Formats: sequence, C-alpha cells, structure tokens
Amino acid sequence: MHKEIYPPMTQHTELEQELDRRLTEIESNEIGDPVHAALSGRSILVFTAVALGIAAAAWIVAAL
Amino acid sequence: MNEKRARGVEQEVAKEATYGSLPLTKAERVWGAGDFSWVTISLAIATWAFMTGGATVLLVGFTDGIAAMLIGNSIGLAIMAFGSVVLSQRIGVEQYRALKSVFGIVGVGIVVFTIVLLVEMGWTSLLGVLFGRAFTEISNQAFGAEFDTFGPFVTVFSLLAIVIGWIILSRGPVTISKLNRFVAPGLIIVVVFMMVMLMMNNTWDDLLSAPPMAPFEDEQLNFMMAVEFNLGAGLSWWPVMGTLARLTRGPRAAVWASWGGLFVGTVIAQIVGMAAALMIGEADPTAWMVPLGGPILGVLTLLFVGFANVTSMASIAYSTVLALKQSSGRALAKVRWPIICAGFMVLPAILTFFPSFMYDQFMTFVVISGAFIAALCGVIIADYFIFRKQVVSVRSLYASGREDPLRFTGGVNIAALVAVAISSAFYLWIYNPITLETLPIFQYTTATLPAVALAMVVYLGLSWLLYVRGGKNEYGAVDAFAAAGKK
Repeated sequence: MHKEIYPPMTQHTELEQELDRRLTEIESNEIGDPVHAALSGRSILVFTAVALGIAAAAWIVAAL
Repeated sequence: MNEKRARGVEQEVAKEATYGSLPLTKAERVWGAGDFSWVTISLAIATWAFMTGGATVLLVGFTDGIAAMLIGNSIGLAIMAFGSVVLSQRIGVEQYRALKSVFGIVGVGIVVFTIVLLVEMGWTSLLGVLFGRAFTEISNQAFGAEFDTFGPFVTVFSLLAIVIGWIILSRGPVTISKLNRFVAPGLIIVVVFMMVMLMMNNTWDDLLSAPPMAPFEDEQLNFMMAVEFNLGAGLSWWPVMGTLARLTRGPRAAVWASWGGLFVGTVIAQIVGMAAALMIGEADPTAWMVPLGGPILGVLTLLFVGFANVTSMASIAYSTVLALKQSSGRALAKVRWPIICAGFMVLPAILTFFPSFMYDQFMTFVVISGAFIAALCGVIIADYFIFRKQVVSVRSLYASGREDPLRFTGGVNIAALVAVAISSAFYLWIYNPITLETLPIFQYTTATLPAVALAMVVYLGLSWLLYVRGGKNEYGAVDAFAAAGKK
C-alpha cells in the first residue's frame, strides 16, 4: 500500500506544539530583544533621505 | 528519482513549507548586515540586470542612463524595502504569512495566485530564454553553425533550462543554497571581465557620446520612461525579499542590506549591460561575449552565465512555489512537491516557444508588474506604518476560524484589495506600457509615485471606514515588543 507522504495527524500535533513552543519563547524570552525592535523614526528618516538624496543628485547631474 | 529519495525531498520540503512558515526564534536569525548584503548583491548580479541596462539605453544615452538607473532603483528599492522587508524582519515570519495582517488569509492567497504567480512565471520564462540564447550561441561557436538566436534551437535549450531548473527545484532548498554559494562570486568576476573586454575594444569617449538606440522624439519623455522602467526593476524584488529578511538580526540590517546590496549589484551589472548595448548594439552577452572574449573564454563565460540563469530560476521559483503551497490551505496539501513545481513551469515552458516575444516585451513586462507591486507596497506601507505603527501580533498570524483576530471580512481585507485594484488601474492610466500613451503628469512624477500615493490614500480611507474605526483586526493593539532594543 502506498505510504502516506504527508504528515499524519500526530505530526500535525507536533507542528502545533512546535508553533506554540516558538510563540512562547518569542513572547517570553525575546520581548526586549533588539531583534524585534521597530524601525525607529530616525532610521526611517535617514534611510528615506539617503534614497531620495541619491535620486536627487542623479537628477541634478542629468539636468546639467 | 526513486521512491525513498522522493519521500526524503517531500519531507524536507514539507518541513520547510510548514516549519518555514513558523516564526523564527532569535537563534535562527543568522544574518547580520554584512551577510545579508552578500546575499542581495549576489541575487542582483544576474543576466536580467544586463537586459535592464540594455533596455534603459534604448531610450537614453550612457550618462542619462546611469542617472535613470540611480533614480529608479534608489526609490524603487526603498519602496520595496518598506513594503516587504521591515514587517517580516520584525516578527521573523515569512512574507506571505506576515501579510495576513494586511490582506487577510484569503486575501494573501488571492495576491499570491494572481500577481506573484504571474510575475515570477514571467521572470522564470525570461531566464529560460536567456539560457537558450546562450547555448545556441555556444553551439554556433563550437560547431560553426548559424542557428538563429531566436529560432527553434533557442526553444530547445530554453526547455532544457526549465527541465534542469525543475530538477534542481524538485531537490529542495539545500541544493539551491549550495549552488548559489559558488555562482555568486563567479558572477562578480564575470561582470568585471565583461566590462574589461568591452572597454578594451572601445573608448570612454565612444561610450559617453553614443546615442540611445531607439528613443522617442521627446527627450524628457525618454528619460522619464527610463526612470519608470528602473523603478519597476527595483520593485520587482518585492515577491522574495521579505522572506529572506526574516533571517536578519535587526531592522536596520534588513533595510540597509536589502536596499544597499540590491542597489550596488544592480548598478554594477546594469552599467555593463548599458555599455554593451551602446557599443555593440546588444545588452545580452550571448551576442558579443565570444567575438570579444575569444572562443575559449567567451564560451566558458557563456556556460557560466547560462548556469547562473538556471540557479536564479530555481531560487525565484522555489520562493514562489513555497508561497503557493502555504497560501493554498488544503487545496495543494496532498499534491506532491515535484508536481507543484512542474505545474509552475508549464506557462514558462509555453512561453519559450516564443523567445523573441519574451525578449521584445521585457520592458513592458517589467513595467506592468511594477504597476501592481507599487500598489501592493502602497497598501502595505499604509497599513503597517500608519495604522498599525509597526505592531503585529505574531500569535494572531497563526490563528484561524471565528476566533481569528485578523479575520477581516471572511478572510479578506476588502479595503486592501480594492486599493490595489484602483491604484494599479491608475498607474496604467498614467502610463500604458503597451500603447505607450502617457498623461502629462507622467513627465514629472512617473506613474509609480502617484500610484503608491493613491494606494495609500484609498487604503487609509476605506480601511478606516471598514475596519480600523471599529477597533477590530488588532488596530490599536498594544506592542508586545515595545521594550525591544531599548536600553
């Protein structure tokens, strides 16, 4: 008989357990970790300024 | 592939598809800014970048081409980064799971099975055609034949590329990442070699003074079309970048490395494409690598470029097929991985029978896909940064049923999809890449920027009316990670 390739019910349970384990770890141990930091307003401004600055400089050179 | 091996791959992919959709823990976030930059530079340097450079100088000369490339890619990549990288990085979740917070679980499926699927099939087909042309040229050199570089042999070799791509894809993620490790540095060497070969046979004066290849009469229009095309090229990275960015250790690493790496890689490769097109009349290295590099070096370079195309094809197809599998719910759950991969390859395979069509419509394809991606990014930026203030609950992304806090309307954020539809149509009204008709505003603003702005405005209004003011779908939620990164 062809063996089922896709996860049987026990593996679905394992998956749910793994998901719960990861969520618990993230919500308890990683709450203050910089990996989950929001992109700061300053970073957004600097990044946007650099991207627009390069575009503006290229535009000016093209116009000259 | 024997049954045991097939089962192994199936389990590996099933593991990736299931566990890959799970949130990453900190220990699994393995990339710093440098690591991610290397990944993105490597992705950007591919033969599609040569084609983009060549298409740019259809409209403008070398210096204006560089300006258009810098403007378009700088802004396009920034919009792309805000619309994909930031969200996935913060919560450590692959892109299409994360976008449940914007489109709803069913809405994401609609986006994946329409826009993402068609765009990535198009790129897969194009890479196949480029492979086909490379090997047709190698055959011409090796056997002294004169096969047409848009003829039936291109189709044969293109189909071969798709079959090879399917084989690599069927073996799962480990094979793909192993191949990319040596393709990436090789491509940098190839690009430098190509530029040296080009400039040994031409002068900088020739290059700087070369006229564009097929411009319109209006110079301003030419320049803005070149900018718009490069905006589309920058945006075209949207389908794959978020999922990669979740592996980085911080938001600044993700944003700067994705934008910076793609920008640097694109500029390097596009400049070669522009120079080749202007000096030789062809951006595609298959047309000039052998005459310039000689039979041995030229053929070796073409072999490498052809191989690189196949690995790039496998990479983008892998991300897309994974997204299809994860977004399909139960529909594809019992379909074997190689079968889904084969299904994905059908349309690209059909398109290889029309190699000149894909080649000639390259610019149109990039612009049309850019129209939809610009709209998507506008909606995502409005939702994530303005309404949610970067707050998305990881746990809610995995909830389902009536208790799902991100249920929207039957799993669909109607406001998001309506905003995408309206803004895409608006883009194509401002600039129709098929008829080449433009509105006067296009010459000053492009079509991308107004489309992104409209997507944001329409979404902010509709979503507020339908969802935000009711306080549902976790708008206004407390940020569980408010202390993250703060001393």
